[in-house]
Formats: sequence, C-alpha cells, structure tokens
Amino acid sequence: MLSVEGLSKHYKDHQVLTDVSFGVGKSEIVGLVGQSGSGKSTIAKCLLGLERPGGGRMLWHGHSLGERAVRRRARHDMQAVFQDPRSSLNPRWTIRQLLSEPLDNWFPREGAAERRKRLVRLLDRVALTAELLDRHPYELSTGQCQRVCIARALAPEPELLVLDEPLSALDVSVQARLIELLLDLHRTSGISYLLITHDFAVVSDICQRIVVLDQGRVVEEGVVETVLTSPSHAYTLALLRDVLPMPFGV
Amino acid sequence: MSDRVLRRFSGSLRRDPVGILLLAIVIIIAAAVMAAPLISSLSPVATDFKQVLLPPNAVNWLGTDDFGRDVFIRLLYGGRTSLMVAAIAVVIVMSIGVTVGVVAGYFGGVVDLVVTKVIDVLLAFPRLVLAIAVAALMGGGMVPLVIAISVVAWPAYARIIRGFTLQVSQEGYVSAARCLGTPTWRILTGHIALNLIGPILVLAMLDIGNLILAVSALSFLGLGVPPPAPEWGAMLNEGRGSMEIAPWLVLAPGLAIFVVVLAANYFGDIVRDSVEGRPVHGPRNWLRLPSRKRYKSVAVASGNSAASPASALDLQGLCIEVTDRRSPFFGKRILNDVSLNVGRGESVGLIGESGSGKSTLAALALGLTRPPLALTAGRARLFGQDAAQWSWDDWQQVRGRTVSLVNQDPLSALNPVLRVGDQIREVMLTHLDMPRAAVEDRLREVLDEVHLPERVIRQFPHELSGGMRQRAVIAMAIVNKPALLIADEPTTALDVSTQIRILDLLRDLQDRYGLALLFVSHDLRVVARVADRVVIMRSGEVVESGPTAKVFTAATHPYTRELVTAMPGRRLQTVKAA
Amino acid sequence: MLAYALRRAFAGLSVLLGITVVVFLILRFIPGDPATAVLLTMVEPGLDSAQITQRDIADVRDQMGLNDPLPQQYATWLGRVLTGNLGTSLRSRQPIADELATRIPATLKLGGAALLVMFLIAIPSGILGGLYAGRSTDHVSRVLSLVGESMPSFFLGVLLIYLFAIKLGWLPAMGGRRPESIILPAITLGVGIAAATSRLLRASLLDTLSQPYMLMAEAKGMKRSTLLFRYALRPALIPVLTSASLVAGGLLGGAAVVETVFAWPGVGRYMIEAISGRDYPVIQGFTLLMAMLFVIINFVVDILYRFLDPRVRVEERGNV
Repeated sequence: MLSVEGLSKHYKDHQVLTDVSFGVGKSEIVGLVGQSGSGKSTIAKCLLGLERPGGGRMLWHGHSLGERAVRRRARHDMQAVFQDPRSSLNPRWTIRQLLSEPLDNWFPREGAAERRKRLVRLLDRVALTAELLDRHPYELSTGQCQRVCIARALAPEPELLVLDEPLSALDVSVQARLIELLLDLHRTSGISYLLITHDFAVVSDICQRIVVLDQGRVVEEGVVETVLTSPSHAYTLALLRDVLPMPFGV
Repeated sequence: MSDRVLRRFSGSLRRDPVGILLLAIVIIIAAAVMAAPLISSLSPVATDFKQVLLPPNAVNWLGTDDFGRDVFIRLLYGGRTSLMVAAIAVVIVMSIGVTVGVVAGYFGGVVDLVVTKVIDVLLAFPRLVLAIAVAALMGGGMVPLVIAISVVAWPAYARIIRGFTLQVSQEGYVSAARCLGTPTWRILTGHIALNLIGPILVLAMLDIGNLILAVSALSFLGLGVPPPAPEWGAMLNEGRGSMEIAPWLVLAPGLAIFVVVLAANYFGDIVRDSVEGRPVHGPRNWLRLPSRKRYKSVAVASGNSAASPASALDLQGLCIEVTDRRSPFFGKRILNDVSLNVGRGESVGLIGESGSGKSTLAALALGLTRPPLALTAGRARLFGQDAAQWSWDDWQQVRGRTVSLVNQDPLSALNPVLRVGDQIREVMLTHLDMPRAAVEDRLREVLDEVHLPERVIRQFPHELSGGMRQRAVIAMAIVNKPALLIADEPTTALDVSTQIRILDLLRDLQDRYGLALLFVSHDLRVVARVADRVVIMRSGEVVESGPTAKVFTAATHPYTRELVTAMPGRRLQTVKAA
Repeated sequence: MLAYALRRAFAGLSVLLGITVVVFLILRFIPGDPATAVLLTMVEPGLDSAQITQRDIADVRDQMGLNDPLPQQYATWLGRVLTGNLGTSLRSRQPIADELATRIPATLKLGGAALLVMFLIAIPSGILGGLYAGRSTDHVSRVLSLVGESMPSFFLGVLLIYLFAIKLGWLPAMGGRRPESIILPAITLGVGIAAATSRLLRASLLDTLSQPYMLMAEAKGMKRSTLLFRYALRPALIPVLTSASLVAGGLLGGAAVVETVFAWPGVGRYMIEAISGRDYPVIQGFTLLMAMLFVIINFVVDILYRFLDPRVRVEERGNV
C-alpha cells in the first residue's frame, strides 16, 4: 500500500535520512523504532507532506506522492496522530469544532442531523461520550485529548494512521488503555498503522513488523518475532539489551 | 476573544480602582475632545491681544496664551489632532505589520528573505530619528506626520508578528490541519490568525502609548500641523517661553499627554495579563522565608553519626495542603496522611502517575515545600530530628551536605552560564572547610566515580550530551558523600540506553556509599531495577507498599495490579525468554 | 570567535548599505523639485519661486547631478559619502561632516550621562521588583516604570527646568558651558529609557527565579548570596544587555528632543535647527550618522552577548 524507496533528506550539511526504504501493507501494523536523533519523525513529516524529501520516492498504491493528485488522495487516505495531544488541538476550538474540521473538508454537504450522528459515532469509536462535544481541550485530561486526536484522524475514514510517539506524553495506565483501543480499532476496521516510537516494549506489544532506524539509516527490518529473537544488526542487539526487563517475570 | 480572557480582564479591572479612575478620565477626555464645538463657542485660533497670559478664571478655565487664545479650547481641539493621528497610525501600522508578518512567516522562502532584509534595514535606524527625518523632508503637517510614524513603526510589528506566525505554524494543530486536508486559507484564518489575535491585541495596546508620545514629540519639534492650529506637543513648545509667568501653558498640554499615555500603557498591562494569564504567586523565593537559625548543629547531628539507629527519612501521617487563599486550588490536599520510611542505606522506590503527589513528597524531604503549599499535619524526621521546625538556614546546612537531589531534566537543572566544574566545586566550598587542593582532588575523584572525563570541568552544560549532564548532576549530589539521596524521575528525559546506564550508576553508588536512596518514578521497570522496597501512591495517598518483589508479583491493591499489568513489553519478554 | 565577529561585521555592512539606500531615497521624496527647494534656501530670503528662472533651475539640476539616472546618482553620492564627504550645509556653507564632528562629542557625553542615570534607576528598581514580585516593593517599582514610560521627555525636561532652574535656581537651565548643566538633560533622557530596562530586568529575573536550576541550587544547599548573584542575577542580566539596542535607539532618538529643550550643543539640536532652515543635506547627513552609530552599537552588543552567554557560543558552533 505504502512504500518508501531510497528516501533521503538533509538540512544544510547535516544528513538526516540516508537511503531509507520500507513499506506498509494493507491492514498491517509496522513499527519504526529509533533513538532521539535517528530521523524517525522526519520520515513521518515527509510521508505526511509536511516536509519535502531530499531524494528517493514515496509511493501510495504504486503512485508517487510527489504528484499533486496522489498527494490529494493521500491527504484523505493517510492520517496522523502526534506526540503531544494538547498542542495538536487548537485551544480555542471546542471538541465539536475540532472533529468537524476533517468532516467539513471531506463531507462538506452533510446535513446537521447526519453530522451529529457521525460525531457521536466517532466519539463512540474512541470510547468518549457525546457530552464532551461542547468542551474545550483544556477541560479534558491528556488521555482524553489523545482520544480526540485519534477520533479526528479517523474521521475521513483513512486506510493508514501514522502514529508519531502517540503514547510518550501519557501515564502508564492511560498508555495501556490506548494501546487496547488502537488494537481494537485495527481488529474491527482493518486499518493500517505506522507506529513511530523509541520504545521497543510498546512496539513489540502492537506491531507485526519492525523497522529499526539508526542515524537516518535502516539497520534492520523484519517480522517482530525474528527481529526480537535473532536481530541481525549489532545496533538492534544493543538496543534490545538496554530495554529494561519485566521485573520478577510478572 | 475567548471567555476566559474577557473574564480575567473584567475581573482584574473590578479589583483595580486606579484602572477604573484612569478609564473614566480617558473616556471624559475622549468625549470632550470629540464634542469640543459643543462645549465652548470660543475659537481655538482667534487671537485677542487684550487678554494675553490670563491665569485660569471663570471664562478661560485654563487661562490664555500669549496671543490671548483660550488654552482649554485649544487643548480640546489639539487633542483631536494628536489622538486622531495616533489612531490612524495604529490602524495603518497594524494592517501593514500583520499582513507582512503573517505572509512572510507562513510562506517563508524568497518573500520572507526580502521582507526580513527590508525590516532589518529599517530597524537599523533609531525610531525617532527616522521619523523626524521623514517628517522634516516631507515638510510637516498631518499627512506627513502619519506617514512618518507609520514608516517607522511597522517594521517592528511585522518582525514580531512574523515570529508569532512562525511559532504558531510549528504548533501541532497546524500540522494536524494540513494532514486533515484543510485548505490553506482556512488554516491561515481559523488556526493562525485566531491564535494571533491575543498577542496582536497586546502588542497594539502596549504600543499605542508610544505612538502618542512619538506624535507629540514630532509636533513639539515643529513637525506637526502648521500653526496657528493647536496640537498638544506644539502647545507645550509655544508655552515654554512664558513658562515663568504662565506655567499653565506648559502644564495643561503636558499633563494631557501624560495622562492619556499613562492610561494607554496601564490598559496595555491589564490586557496583556488577561491574555497571557498572570500566576497568582511569584516564583519560589528564598528571600521571603524566615532567616534565623533555630538549631545550631543540625548538619553535624544528622550528618554521619552512623551510630544513631534512627531512619534516614521518617514521615508519619503527613498532610500537605494548598494554604494560600488566592490560589484557585485553595484547600486542596496534595498529600493526605502519608507515611513513609527510608532506612539508612536502604533504597526505596516511590511510584505514582502524574498528579499523585510524589514530587511534592520528594520536595518535602529537602525542605523545599513552598507557598502555596504547606505542611498542615504529620511528622517529618530526618535522621531522628524533627525537620518540620527547621528554618531555611537550618535546611541550607543540610541540603547538599546530608541530603541531596537529582531531578528529571538535567539540562535545566544546571546553571547555563557556569562551568560544570565550578558548579560541583561550589557544593564542596559551601559546606566543607576544605583546602583548595583537597577540593580539586575530590572533584577529579567524583568525576571518575560517575564516569565523566576531566574535560567537563571547563565545559558549560550545553556542551554535554543528556546522559553526561545527568552524570554531572549526580556528581554534584554525591560529592559531599551525603547520607540520603532523593532522585526525582532521574531517567525520564533520557534515551533508553542512557537510562539503563544511569540506573546502574545510581545503584552502584548507593552500594558504595551506603546511601539511603528515595527513587521517585512513574516507570515500574525503572524502579524495579534500583529499589529494595516500593511505595505506590495515587492522588496523594499511599495505596500499597512492601518489598519490590512482593508488590510486583502479589499486589493486593487493584490499582497496583492495574499498573503492573499496564507495563508494555510483555510480548518482548516472552520472545526474549524463548 | 573571530570568524563569528567577521560574519557579524559582514551582516552589519550589508545593513549599512541598505541604510545608505534609504537615506539617499528619502531626499527624493521631498514634495516638489529638489533643485527649486535648494534655490529657495540659497537665494536671499524674500524671493519667491516666481523669481527663479528656468535657467537657474536647470543650472542647479546640472550641478546636483539630478539629470543622471537614479542608480548613477546613488553611486556618485555613495562614493562621496565613503570618502567622508557628506556635502555642504546650505545655510553655513561649511562641510556637514565637519559641523557634525564638532558637535558629536557633546551628544555622546549626554548619552553616557543618561546611560548612567538609567542604570542607577533601572537596576535597583528591576531587581527589587523581580525579587519581591507581587508585594508592595514590586508595586512601587511597577508604578514608577509606568510613570517613567508615560512621561513625554520634553514635558519632563520643561518641568525640571521650571523646578530646579527657575524656582529653586540650583542648576542652569540651558546650554552646555558649565559642568553641572549636564545634570538636568541627562536625567530627562535617562528616565525615559530606564522604565523599559527596569521592566525587562524584572521579567528576566522572574524567569530565572522560576527555572529548575534555581531549585536545584537551593537543593545543593547554596547560600542566599550565591543564589541571588550567581544563579538569579547573572543569567537575568544577559537579556538586559541584549536590549541595549533598544536603549541605544531611545538615546539617539531622544537626544534630538532633549537637546532642543535644553539648548544642548549636540548634533540633535543642530539637526532640528536645520529643519527650520530647510537644510536638507544636513538632515540627510545626521540621519546617516545616527543610523551608522546605531549599527555599530548593535554590532558591539552582539559580540559582547556572545562573550557573556555560553549558550550562544555552542549554538553557533553547532550551526556552522
């Protein structure tokens, strides 16, 4: 569905990405793992059209994302959730306005009743109640804000969600519930995820395939079990060794 | 404008008699200036040489000038010119500034480059000098005055608004909107402009006063409307010659300018505070605390008297509440009946999610509980001594000597303008009476213990990586060989591989020094690696405590069980084990 | 460091070039024909435009090079400026560069004295305001700043003259002959810029006081004096220094007004006199001089800032 071929990018003389290639298939969950400075967020920005890639190709269903028409289609098919849920929500808008933004863009001719039904359904998918519609983001907890972000990303009914560190700003118990939610959504709708994170533990819980990134290069790619049990690259091995073990085998 | 801002604005105005008075004066002045022809039939320009330099009287409320013209009516008509020029200038300057700033900031590229260069050049002139030059070369008068002020003032606005725009464009919600397929014009109006209204309003309000001052300065210099038409600055200039016998000629226009500008600036402040929100409290401030020493030998007594059997830290039934009435959270209990014991040489993990009160507890152990928070009940003992009664100076001897702290963000924990070596040295020099050579020896020794190279002595915090900074902070904490170390989320801001190394270093140091360690974190796996015993907190209360292994494997409280099962990485574990 | 200084100097030069373009163009904005304007000033007063013949105008235009294309006029003018030739005053017929040179020391002296006044007011008021934020000391400091920045400098100057020169007779009101005559103008100029600096210092101090390293320093057991000077004030003074360009702008701009009020024999008053005499080349020369001074001051501040704040040094190195 999505394939990235030889993507590279540099700021001035600092090379951020070098020849990055990977793909995401239909209904697949792919994890993109790297430490800070590995260039993982830059990949997300390039995919989402927030930054121009320096070289290489990004294909959406076999068509280059560099073409306007393809990008326009991908604007609908590919949605994103970012790390900081609070800054992702315009503080002056209500939840209703926030969720209506993508609906105005993609379903502009909807009637009021239909719109209301759609909003409630969206909130329901992320386990929030319709009472929140007229609140502002600052009246919600961080976990609720992230759910609103997910609902907003689901609104155009995309095929792929790019999740850029969606759990890092959250408490552990909230994290666990969101992971549940993401897996549920995947099971019911077959949506694909590209999960970008520094946390091997989270990746191993959610993903089917892993891409390991070190200083802008893909050092390893493969099925979760394979990468975790027999990593082929020393860097992956070192990263895995540094993941804190589950205490007392709980 | 959002309701919050309006509420704050009306709230602060209601509590502010000076503000209301100024508002009233300005409204009266503005009304009088508008209605000048209705108030008095006297002409502002008609001369009468029989009535020169009359002091204030029943007909001429503010006296007359040296042409026998009524000062009061000239003041009213003069205000029309001064205030109108300033008002027009504000509108022109804001329109140009906002348009240019937003366009340059959002689109960037060549447009931005050219605009920035032009702004740079125009800002390289002292504001008033360029205004004088432009007005002078255009020959004075109302239109040149407006042009001069506008030419000089717009670049500063454009630059600031360009900065705001850049900042807002980086916000998550703008990226999100682009990803959602929102058209550019919607992003510019709905997201960027909407969030710029506050700062722009503040900017305009804060600068109106300056513009009025600039207008009157130019007219004082003879660059305003040509005489005999009145204008505040020009009236003041004309009055200077007769000041000795007729001071009202200077006082009337001078006070008029002063009061109007004062009111504008004052409102600027109120608007800014309403938009940006002002904290009820100043930052924590050691200057306000009682200074006298109560206990002479606190540090010595609690220090290294290992013979004493008392615990390092012993808290019983502790309550901390918001005790400041001005705080919106007045009366809220941050800690409720908390008991916690850290034995000598013991490592205790304190686990809690955000809002659990764990950091408040850590601060208490260092005597850093500050308004609006205060200890309202319970007992706090450090090495057997009742620490609840200690004054700031008592604590000062203990902190860094007997008890020390490592906190979350190593970058902001270090003073950016001091070299790392100096920051470690001063901990020794403050607390211990050591010869210079011994200080240097210990400095090298402690750097070695935390695995830092000697070159960091001469380096500034910004020159170190995150892991190295945290090692430097740890070096500061252990250099005096304290008996109790408080570590508040010490690894949260670090990369995974750095995290594990810092944890092992802390564990290693704890063994070597026989340190008592209170390790505060939200991450169970991190705590499990260092703690002998754990305490779980939620919403200011201790829900469970016990030996680490027992709490993790056989938790009794449902919340603890939830936390344990919430730990991610279960699959990783099974895979690794296989 | 040297590489940085050179790069800043280069940037400064490009701004200077921009300044010359602006100053050159300003003179072209004069309503009407520059040549006619010049003739009106030079010829005996009492003549009006009707008595100037077309041939006179054509002659002057030719002399002034006004018939050349604009870029060529600019190049000629810039060439003269670069050799220190700012043209001749229309009134005194003296070289403008010389006239400015004899008056600039008085202006610099006044600026220096005003700077001293500013520091004496702004530093204590800003520090007290920051340390005692929200208390009565802070309120007093805030009210003083507010009054200071709302007071028109010419009004304050006139009031001071009235009180100290006319009523009390303690200090001279005008001129610059006696050493104590600098006191009143320096206070007038200093008070205006003190308010902004005091506010900035207060805000900057509040910012450093709420930084985590302040808490960390307290947790290290630092004494009060160390906390105050090494941890709170030292970082807080850096933004105050960078605001020096603001202060310099206020000083240079305010000088024209204050020198007029006190008849101080500096360049500002010279320029204001030139305005009433329509001495355009003088206005042009003065503007150029002030802008150049301003650019130089900003350059020095830039270098100093880098020297004082280690953070900037590192960022620069990272970006190269």
